[in-house]
Amino acid sequence: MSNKKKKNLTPAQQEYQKFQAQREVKRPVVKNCIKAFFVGGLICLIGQFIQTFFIYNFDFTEQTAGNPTVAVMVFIAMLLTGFGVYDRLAQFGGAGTAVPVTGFGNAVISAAIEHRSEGLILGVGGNMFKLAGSVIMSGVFAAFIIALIKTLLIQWGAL
Amino acid sequence: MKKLLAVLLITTFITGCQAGGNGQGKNIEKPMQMSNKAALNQHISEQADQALRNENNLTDVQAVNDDKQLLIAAQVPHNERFQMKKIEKKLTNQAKEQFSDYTITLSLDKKIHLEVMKLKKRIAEGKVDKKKLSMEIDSLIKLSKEKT
Repeated sequence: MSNKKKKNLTPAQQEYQKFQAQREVKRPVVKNCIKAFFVGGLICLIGQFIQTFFIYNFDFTEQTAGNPTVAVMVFIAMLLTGFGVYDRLAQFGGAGTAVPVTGFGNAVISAAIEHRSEGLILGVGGNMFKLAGSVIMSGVFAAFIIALIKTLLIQWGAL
Repeated sequence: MKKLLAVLLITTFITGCQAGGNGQGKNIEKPMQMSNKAALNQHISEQADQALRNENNLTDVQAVNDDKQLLIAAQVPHNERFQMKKIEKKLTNQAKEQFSDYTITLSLDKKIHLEVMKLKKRIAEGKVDKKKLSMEIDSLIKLSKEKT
């Protein structure tokens, strides 16, 4: 609770705040960060292996190999979500599993599973992108703005 | 759990520090010796190879050429990968100055490096004729320019 809000509380409420702050279980922030770092790093390591596989075995350069790699990673995350493995990993790794692109696959499939009982179209179809839709939307919009800025800078000869 | 995490953290930092920094330039391989019997003249690419190696900090350089084109594939040390665009520009300019008769294509991409190495091996084995070499170089140049 912010300090401003605390001032508006009644004395009894303020006392309670102090009381509960003493008994509150502290969040292990540093430990969580380290866990997220390693789990996220592990996911990226797997991604790197897949990218190298595409570079060595198919006609992809370092630049173009990113596309199939992302597709495969998202697909694997979707399968693992369906099997219930990704959720357990996410419980341990926290943000480490949500921030990489695999978190996107998890968001899509978990929403689809959740609304399965409401039918295929209105349930799964309508709610699948409930969370991931905003990610796509903001991603496309941010890309548009950045492309606009870059184009303007190139036109002005700054880049 | 805490102990395990601490051990993992420390080993990661230690091994990470060992990998970078030292031994720079040690792992520069010598240019692949081309067979004298090879029918295709790769003299220019060998020259380019040597010149770029001597003047820059590169882990490896591989080059092939036909009558008009010179394709150079170089690898930069890992800690310099953030400046890849700058390095690519600098190396291209260097190569263009020295080999102005040729159309220069320089790439720092791993895939191009791999493919050029394979092509050089096949040239050394005498499995590639002039026409095929030009075609292969063309397709590699096209691949190096691919964006999507």
